[in-house]
Amino acid sequence: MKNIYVKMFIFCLIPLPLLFALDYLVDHGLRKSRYTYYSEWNDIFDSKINADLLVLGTSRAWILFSPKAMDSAFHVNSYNLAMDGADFDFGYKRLKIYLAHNKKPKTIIVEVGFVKTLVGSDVLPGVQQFLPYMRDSSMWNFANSKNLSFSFFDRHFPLYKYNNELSLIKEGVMSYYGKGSRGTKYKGYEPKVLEWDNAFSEFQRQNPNGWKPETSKAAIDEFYDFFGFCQSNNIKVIMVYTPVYIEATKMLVPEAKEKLMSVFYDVSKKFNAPFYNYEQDSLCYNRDLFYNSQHLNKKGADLFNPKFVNDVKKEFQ
Amino acid sequence: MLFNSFQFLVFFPLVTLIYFLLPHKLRWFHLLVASCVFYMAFVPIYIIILFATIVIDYYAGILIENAPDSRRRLYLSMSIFANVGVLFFFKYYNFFADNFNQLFAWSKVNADIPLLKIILPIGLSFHTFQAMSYTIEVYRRKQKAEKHFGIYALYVMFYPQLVAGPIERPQNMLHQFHEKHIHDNKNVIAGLRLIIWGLFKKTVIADRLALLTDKVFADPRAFSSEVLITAAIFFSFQIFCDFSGYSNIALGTARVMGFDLMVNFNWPFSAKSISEFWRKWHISLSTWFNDYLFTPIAQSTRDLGIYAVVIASLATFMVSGLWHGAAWTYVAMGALHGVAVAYEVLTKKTRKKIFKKIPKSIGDAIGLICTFSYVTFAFIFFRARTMSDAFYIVGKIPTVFTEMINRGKPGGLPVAWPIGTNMLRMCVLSICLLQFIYLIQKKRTLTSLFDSQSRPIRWVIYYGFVLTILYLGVFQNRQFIYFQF
Repeated sequence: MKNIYVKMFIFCLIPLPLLFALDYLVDHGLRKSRYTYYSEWNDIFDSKINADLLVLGTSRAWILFSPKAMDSAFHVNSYNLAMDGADFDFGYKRLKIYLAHNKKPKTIIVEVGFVKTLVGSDVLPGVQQFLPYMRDSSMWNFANSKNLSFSFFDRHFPLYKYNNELSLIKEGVMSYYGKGSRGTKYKGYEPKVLEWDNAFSEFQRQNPNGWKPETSKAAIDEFYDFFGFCQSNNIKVIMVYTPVYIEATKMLVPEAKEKLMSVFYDVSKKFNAPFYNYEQDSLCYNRDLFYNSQHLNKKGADLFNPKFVNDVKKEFQ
Repeated sequence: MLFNSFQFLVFFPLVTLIYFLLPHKLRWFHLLVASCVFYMAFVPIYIIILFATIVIDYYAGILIENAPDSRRRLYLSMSIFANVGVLFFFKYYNFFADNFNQLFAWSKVNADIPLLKIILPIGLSFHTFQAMSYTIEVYRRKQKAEKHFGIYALYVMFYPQLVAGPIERPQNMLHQFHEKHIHDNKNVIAGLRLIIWGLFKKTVIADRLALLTDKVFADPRAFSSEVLITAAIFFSFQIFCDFSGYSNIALGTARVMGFDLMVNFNWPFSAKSISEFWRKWHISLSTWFNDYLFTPIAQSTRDLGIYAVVIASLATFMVSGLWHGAAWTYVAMGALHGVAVAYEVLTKKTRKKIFKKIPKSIGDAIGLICTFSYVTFAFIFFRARTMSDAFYIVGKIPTVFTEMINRGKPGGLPVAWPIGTNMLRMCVLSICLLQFIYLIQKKRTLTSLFDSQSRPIRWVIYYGFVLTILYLGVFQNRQFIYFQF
């Protein structure tokens, strides 16, 4: 009887060194990688950013605010730290991790809008971005802050977290040997060369009576808390409502829109944070500048950036 | 507690270890407690219903055995009434109430049967049928009534097959609980192999295919006919791997402790007719219906000749459809299979003549393709949320060629798949792998093939399977499809 259990024990033991070695290789490879979101995280953990000006927000900010334009206009070192698909509180948590490894910025540009800013969802955006950092407690807490996205096995069992992520394993190994992806971002910024997709017409069909964005009290509290945190740390915050395709703005239920806007204006007043609202900007009327109702494409971003830096220049004088 | 969960990973070795450490006279109690824990991990309160039916059937068995002939039938009827009553109340009451309410509304009768807010106890149809087979077999004098209450309770509740079968017969199981099982390496190895194979089918194939089928069947109107057809085909493989995977794990966990459960699946997609399909698919249920429904109906109507078989087939498959779930979609699936079997019965001679004229390999291929296509077609009704969805999907099938031609034209849009291309490739690859394994074991059973290999090769294969489950399996705590029944 004993014999079989000894064999089973040996059977389980044999692949472990190999799995741990591969796990190490992939983790450390991805922590060098410039592949998608790893470039920003790696810059944060390697203390390479140390920016004077940071951009926080969702994908709307990620594809819009060009650090190149801001650097030359404001004579600062800027970095776009926006997170694709993230609610505002994720950006706030990321800022705290950033501050643990980098110097404090003088200014933060916060992109606000209806889709993610004051919505408290339980969805963790881009689960894969956390994988190589699972053993870092700040990242572990971040990833599991809303609902338990990762299990004990994900954290401790070698490679288990890369379940069904063959392309990531490949990228990790390649990056470890210096042959990984070169990356497509400049200081976190990645404009999209895309044309208008037709997702919005489906959205319109599904919401014939307009769209009412949900808000959560927890998200609003977090938003206020962020401004308090920045004030106490002497960080200037500039809020920007970035351009949205005008037909999408028209779909917003007026009461809901008013409620959200009142929060933005209240925060702006209470914390003395300048608020730049591009809701009715001329860019919003040109569908060719968007690839969907919420996101400007590269053509749109190229037109927005000079306009924006010109508008905001006075804040840096 | 799901077989593909972390809890089971702890529960199973612990229960098995304690089982072998305990003296034989205490093992039944240990297994019973473990089975209660396993069952109560779902909805604890429903153990009371299970306990009530166990008490009723236990005493019914003894009463039937000891009663004079005049009363035996009465006790059997009472037992069946109690079992079917529980099943009807929890599973079918709302279905019938809802249909009657619609009928009342349609015929403008002012009546409204209230609906109940109840959750279906997990595995109710399985353990009810298993309990019924006990009293029927005692009634038929093919099984002696079990005097040990604990052993009888274990027969109904034995955790590996409690929630989704196989639906066992008392002749196969009861004596096994009395026998002393010694730890046998061969059983442990055979059992673990079955568990690994079952987990592989569930996590690597079934749950991967579910990533597409769940999305498509949730909103079929959002997808093109190519996607709908793919989803229907994927679902056939998904449900096979899901349910047969569950059965493999059930058989494996029982085998490790030295118990033999009946084989539930025998590569059903290799069937060349619908009748053959049902001899290979969910065998424990098919044989149950054959013994307790089909045969009695066929015998009672035997004066009708071949039409007795036709009537019995149609009735049995309709009830079988309803057994799966309280919805018209399940009835439709059952009816489709009933019609196919009836057709096969009526045209047996003609088909035999035709197939004699063509080479066997071609005839087999035709039979295989037709059977798989028909089964897949019937599964559309099984999986669709409503009859309207099912008819929509069926209606879209013939438009596939037009849609494909339009895609080839300038400006034609590509197929919008609900999952990424890589995942789609993995789905197709997993189906190919399944078929490859089927072809390998066609001439020789996998077990004998396996045993003939040297240890390093065996270990490499084990590693292949285990690592594939760990790193390519889909773990989303997805329930086994048949748990809902």
